[in-house]
Amino acid sequence: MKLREALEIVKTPRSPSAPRALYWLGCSSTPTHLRTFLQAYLFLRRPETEIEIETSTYGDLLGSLESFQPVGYEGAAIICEWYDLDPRLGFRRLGGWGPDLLLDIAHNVRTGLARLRSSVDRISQSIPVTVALPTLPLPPIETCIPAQSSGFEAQIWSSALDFAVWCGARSGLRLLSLAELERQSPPSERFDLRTELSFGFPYTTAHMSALAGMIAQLLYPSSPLKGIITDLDDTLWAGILGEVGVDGVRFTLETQAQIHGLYQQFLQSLSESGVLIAVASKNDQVLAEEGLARKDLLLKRSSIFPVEIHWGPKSESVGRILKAWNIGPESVVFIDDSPLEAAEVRASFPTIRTLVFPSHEPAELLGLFHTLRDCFGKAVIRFEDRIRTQSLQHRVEAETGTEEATSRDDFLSGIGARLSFCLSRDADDERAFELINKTNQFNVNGRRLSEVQLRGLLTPQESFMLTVIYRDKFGPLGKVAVVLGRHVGRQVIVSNWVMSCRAFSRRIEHATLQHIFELFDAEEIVMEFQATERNAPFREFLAEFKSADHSALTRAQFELFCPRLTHAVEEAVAHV
Amino acid sequence: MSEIDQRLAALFRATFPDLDEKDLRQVTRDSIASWDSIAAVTLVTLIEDEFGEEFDLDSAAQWTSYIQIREELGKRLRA
Repeated sequence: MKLREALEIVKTPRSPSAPRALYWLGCSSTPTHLRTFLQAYLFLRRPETEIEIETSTYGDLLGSLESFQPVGYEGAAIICEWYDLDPRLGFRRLGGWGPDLLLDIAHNVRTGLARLRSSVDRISQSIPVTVALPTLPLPPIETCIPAQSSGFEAQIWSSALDFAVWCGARSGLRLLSLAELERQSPPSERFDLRTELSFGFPYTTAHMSALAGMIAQLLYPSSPLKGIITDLDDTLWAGILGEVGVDGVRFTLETQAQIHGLYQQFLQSLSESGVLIAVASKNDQVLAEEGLARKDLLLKRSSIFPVEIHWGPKSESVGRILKAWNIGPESVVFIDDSPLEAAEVRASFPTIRTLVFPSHEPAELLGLFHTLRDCFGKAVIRFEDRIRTQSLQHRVEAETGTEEATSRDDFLSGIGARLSFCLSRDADDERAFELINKTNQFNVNGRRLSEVQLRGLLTPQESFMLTVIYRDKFGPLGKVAVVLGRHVGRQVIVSNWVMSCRAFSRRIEHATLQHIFELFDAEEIVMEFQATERNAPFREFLAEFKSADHSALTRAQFELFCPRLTHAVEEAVAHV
Repeated sequence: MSEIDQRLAALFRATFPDLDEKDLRQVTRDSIASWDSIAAVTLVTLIEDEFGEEFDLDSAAQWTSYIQIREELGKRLRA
């Protein structure tokens, strides 16, 4: 992004009623343009929000951090350059660069990082914090030739990397990837001595743009996409199955088809992190199933669900896969070696993302992997991620079972459903946070929450968070629902209620209401309901109780219309 | 209005969104309240980015009018 574009974005008027989000930018150089870029990138990620950015004191990053109080902020970004740890590692001070000073400078770097760690530790307990370790080159402080890396450089990087390892283990902290920054902003094009000396801006505008874009991505991450639909021939493997047979398809180095093996390996790792993988292929069904059953395939057959193999249009396959997954096309990437097939799918599903597999351009494989990591990357892999494919298969089996059972009641009473409710005010429950921010269909009002807003909602004594864990004879689904609310006397007010679409049709929502009535001895539950484009399943659920007012449900009404519930409640833990 | 004038006008608009474009050639540092040191630095950064030219920054930060900037830019682009 050019500075001019950033200014135009920042100066576009917002609605006077737009909610405000305040961020803090910690950097010791003149922050003007960097702040403009960061504000612009955050506007692009949060177009409905008025973004404000406050900055640290010029020339004193560590001191500013020590006095910074995070109350009222949505997040903080910290850019720590070498000169923040010892001013002699910059160009605006004349404190000497001689070899006799290196020991002292290395010591200051270590103690400066310890101060940084202490502040970051405190701040990240309240708000999300993004940290960038030094992005600018060291001054010519050493006596060796530029081609040689000295012990001094290794020593200060060792201190910085110790800090990075510590950051990696903390949940509220997001460390900016120096490798990705290198890709977007080559080191030799980052520093501008001219502007540093005249204005106190050490960064080129291109570097500021790259840095700010990445920081915005970390401060306000997008929800990862959910599934990949892949082609088989010349994509998952090299060769046309119908021509070369099951043993003739290739995906190894020895058979000059390593990129297909790497692709399989990559899909398998994505599957293990909770990404759904399906196949859409124009092929002979029996032959393709045999191909997918090959023991040496790096993508396990059990990681793929569903498999759509026929000679009809791929858009029909995609439609059926989306139905089985119960998600929208905007959450999915379609990968095929044929641009024509990709275009045909896009014509039917304009919001699906399509990528062409580079079967004849091996070098482009890295670009494909980078794009997929950008779409599906997540910082933490949870239990629910690991079991996602299996639980989907179980859902389909369960739905098939419903059709076979004489009645829905009989079917549900025979599946051994077990629920575990947990009452808490734990704002650090990452799975609950994820559910609140990515669930669309069973969602009382579509309201999203930032980490700081969630913490604020759960601060009052009368507030609560109820999470629901489900399993049945088909397997566990993990944590599937979250209710946020407050109880006042015998009334419960529900501000947020979401349930994963994997958990539909099991009356978990009915059992949840029953549990809330009992837990708080409530006479009435008031829901802050708001219809959205996507929450029809929630509206239909409320309609079951035939309440005149969609937003309120009395206990008597609930008991009158609630269907038979047969879940075993295993535990009801309270940590309020 | 020449192509250079149009591009320069766009940079003035980005820096001073309330600027009345009719008055552009009359604009001076004294006539715009928001033309402070930050705006001056923003303007020179935008001009360097847009035209790919480097100026002496200390002098550029002291530019006082649209006309002066247009002349400096013209000299540089002709050189």
